[in-house]
This record gives sequence, structure tokens and C-alpha cells, in this order.
Amino acid sequence: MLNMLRSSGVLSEQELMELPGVPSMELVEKGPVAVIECAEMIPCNPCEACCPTGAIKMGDDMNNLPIIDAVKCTGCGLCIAACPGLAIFVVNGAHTKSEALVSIPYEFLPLPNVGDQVEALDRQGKKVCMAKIVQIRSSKKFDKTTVVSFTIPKEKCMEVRQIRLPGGMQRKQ
Amino acid sequence: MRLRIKSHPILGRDLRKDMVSIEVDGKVIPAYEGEPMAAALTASHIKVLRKTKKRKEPRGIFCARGICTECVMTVNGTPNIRTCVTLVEKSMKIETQEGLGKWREKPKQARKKI
Repeated sequence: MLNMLRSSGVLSEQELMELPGVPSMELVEKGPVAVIECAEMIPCNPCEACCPTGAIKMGDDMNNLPIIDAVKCTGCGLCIAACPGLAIFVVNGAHTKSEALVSIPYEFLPLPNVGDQVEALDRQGKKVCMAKIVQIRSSKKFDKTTVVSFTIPKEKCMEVRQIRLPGGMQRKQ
Repeated sequence: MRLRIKSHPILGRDLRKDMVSIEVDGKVIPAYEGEPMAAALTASHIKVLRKTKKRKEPRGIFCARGICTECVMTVNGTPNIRTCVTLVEKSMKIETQEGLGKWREKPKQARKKI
């Protein structure tokens, strides 16, 4: 169980799709849904607690892995900011015919600007394509975690989970 | 390369303005009054804070919270000052400490002969 995660620190695609918090590709392609890449059983429940529609459940034991109900999920993104492990994303596989809209927690400065072209990285930190920033949300409910939304080619929507801004260490803060 | 954090997602922006001067091995560097000495040293790109007693190897910040004593330097003549938890005072004289450092010489006590 979870051999790739345990040995390399990164979930393999197979391990990912088996998690109860990860909806099937069919559901992702229907519209925005939370993808909860939570694989460790730890006592943690901010995702369940913050969900306004009750789409995230872990039953009677908060050590359980969260289960996503794609029908109840509206893709609001509150859980993206609530998860202390930065493990929750909202993926909209129906954004356009060729592109998916992915929302991630982004806790770095400087923030990108809407319209910027940035590098899109996979779970190993490797660049897989470019992303275009569509929305940047910092609300009081997100409590100092900014949620950045960007478009990428649809086929990469279950790979891309981070962005890298150009410029490296020389960026002005 | 600038080593100070100008803006932080949780702490906000660094609005401090007034700097003081402190001396490190004779060299004058700027510092914010009241900040940990190690922060001012790092901002001036000073990484080597002391040399080990036996092999004179360089040491610097390690735990950054006052429990490992890797960052100790001699300050205003007093050795073994933990720079990560000691705050900057203006005109401080800081020296790279060699080994265990030297205390100020005490006058030799007269020995009573029985």
C-alpha cells in the first residue's frame, strides 16, 4: 500500500486514483470538484469542518481519509485554504474544451498577476507545461492562504499541482 | 543578493526604518535595534560566527532558537553569547569567537601561606 509515496514521497498515479478524496476523471470532467490528495491517516478535519455543503466526510473517526461527494461539491475552494497539508485542489475539467482550470493553495510571495504565464509543475516539482493565471483569491475565510487558479491543457489536470514564477531568487518581493 | 525578508505572507511587510551601527571584527555593519544579532549578521552575509576549539572549523547558526550554542560569539568582551537569541544594542562590539573564548583577566588573588 502506498509504496511509491513511502519510498519517494510522491503519490503515483495509481495510488492517487485509489484515494477516497480523489474523484474519478469522469466527475472531474463534469465541472469543478475538490480533489483531496490526502493519503495519511492522521487526526485532522478542517476540510470536513469548513465545507459549506457537507461534501467532505470522514465518518465517526477523524483519523479516516476524507471522502469527497462530487455531487454535493460546488468547487467553492474553501477546503483548498483550510487544509494544513496543502493537499486539496479544485479541478474543473469542464472549463473549456481543451483546458482545465486548477485551483491551488499558494503560500509564497510575490504573488503572480492575473494573465501571467507561469511554469506548471507536477508533484515532483518538474515542469510539465505552462499555465495562465486566471484568478487570485485572498479572502478573510482563506486566512492568509492565497488560492490561485490557472488554466492548463486538460490532459494535465491530474498532474499539475504547483506553479513556478519566472525570475528565481532575483524576484522582487 | 538581499537576505532580509521584506514581505511575508503571515507577518506582513517589514516597516522598520531606523538602523544602528554595530561592529563585527572591526567592520561596521547596519542592524535594526532590538533584532536578534544573528539576523543582522546574516543580512550582512556573515555566515561564520565562531571557530571550534580543537580544529578551528567554522560554525554558524544552527538551531536558531538558543539551545545548541553553535552561533555564540564574543560580545563587548564577554564570550559565549548566543547571537540567535541576544538582541542588537547600538555600538555593540562583536568578535568571531575562537574556541571557548576568553574571559576578562581577573587580578590574581594573593595566596595565603600557612
